[in-house]
Amino acid sequence: MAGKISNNSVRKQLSTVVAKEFVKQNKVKLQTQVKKAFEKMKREMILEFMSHPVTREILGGPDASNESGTLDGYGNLFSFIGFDKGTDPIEPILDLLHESKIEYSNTADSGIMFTIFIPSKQKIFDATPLKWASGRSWSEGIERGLSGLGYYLNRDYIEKSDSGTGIQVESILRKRNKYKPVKYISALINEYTKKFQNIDKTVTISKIL
Amino acid sequence: MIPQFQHQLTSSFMMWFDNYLLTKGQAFTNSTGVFYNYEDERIPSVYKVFGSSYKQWVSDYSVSGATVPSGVFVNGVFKGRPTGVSNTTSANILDFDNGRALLSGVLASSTVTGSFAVKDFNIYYTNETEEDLILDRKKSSNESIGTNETFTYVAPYDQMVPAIYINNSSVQNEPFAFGGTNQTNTNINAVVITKDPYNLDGVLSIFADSFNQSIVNIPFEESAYTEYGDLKSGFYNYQALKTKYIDQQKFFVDKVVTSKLNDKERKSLLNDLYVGFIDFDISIIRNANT
Repeated sequence: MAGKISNNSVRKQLSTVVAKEFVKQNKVKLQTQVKKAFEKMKREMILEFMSHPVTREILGGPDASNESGTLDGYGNLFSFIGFDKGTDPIEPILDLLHESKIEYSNTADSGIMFTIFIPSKQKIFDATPLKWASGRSWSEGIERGLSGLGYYLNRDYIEKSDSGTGIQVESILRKRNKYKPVKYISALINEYTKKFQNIDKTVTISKIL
Repeated sequence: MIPQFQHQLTSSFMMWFDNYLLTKGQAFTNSTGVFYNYEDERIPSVYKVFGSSYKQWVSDYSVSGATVPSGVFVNGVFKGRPTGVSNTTSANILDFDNGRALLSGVLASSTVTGSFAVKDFNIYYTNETEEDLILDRKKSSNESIGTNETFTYVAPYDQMVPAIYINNSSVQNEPFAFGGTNQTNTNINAVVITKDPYNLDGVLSIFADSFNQSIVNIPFEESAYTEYGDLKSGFYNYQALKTKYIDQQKFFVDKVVTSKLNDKERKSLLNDLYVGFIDFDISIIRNANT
């Protein structure tokens, strides 16, 4: 009969609509879950960085104790690296960690995929130059070794002798034990690359260069 | 103790570094000069010591254009050292490191002359920290810094600028493959101390470009020098040595970062000297258990 709608056709259209709605709802649900997990993990990453003994010690400024143990308890990293009083060397790293973000996109098979952007360790090293040799990074130096030149060069810390030449600082340096490298930025980025990756199988990690 | 991985890396790196600088930068100056007699209690009394006004001499025959000395003239007569044999007990020894000749059977009053290529940068392996290296130079001022242009002999064993101090700072192993294969990463730092910014920039530029170079792994036993600073076999050619061991697993220059001591800081520290830093990341894939 003309104008009659086939039951099969209606059923088919209805099932397509239901299926689409189901997929859509699932996508929204997955998106919410992954985003929530990402935000939680990002907070953890920042917290872990902020509670690292090296970070805490540097934030403590020129009067901090050597809680990281990198100087055998003598002096502190803020002075040893040669930061200026009143500066916050941690801020550039914190800014980069805060820039971590998640984006999602639809796939050809109606699925969804997530990309998490986190700073590469090189990006962080580039953002943390030594004041006295700008090609070198102090945060990289924490991991591979630091010289005590910064301490000597930073006049703020020089206990001036009569001649003002900083001879007493020289003698302090000579008594000082050598810097002992510890894990810092590389370990943090490697750890959270894995953790972010494990949020969901649809997640890929992209390093901010 | 038999030579370990670290010894082999260090000696291979030092040979590569020296050759790379001399060839890429032509960082040497051919010179002819008079040698001055002096006493050195560390040297057996059978030898008379005649020092040139320069150190270190180029000893690598693969450096094109460099005059590698094979002897000196004593009162106008050439006194060569033997080649192709063990050179620790010969009558005439050339100490390339200290820029001098150790001669037996000659008078202290003899006139000794010779031709040689002087390195534009003395290269030293050191365990001293950067601050010690640089502070020492401040403390001792110009007296022990010296120059390569004095008109007498250069005192032996003193370190002279322009110089590059190489220090092997740290080593880490990372798992690379099943079966105990690791990637061994070594940080090697070089402190460059020069008298002018031109040479400093030149050295930094040459080594900044060494990124991605491979360094042939040459056995420690192939070290070219005797205890007196002469060539073991009378002949050293880095390129030939490299070819001999070309099939060995190579070291790889993963990353190079160069930087200079800022001018403001430099002036407060060293007066007329310029300081730069070259930080190398060297890696090799190896099985540490074999």
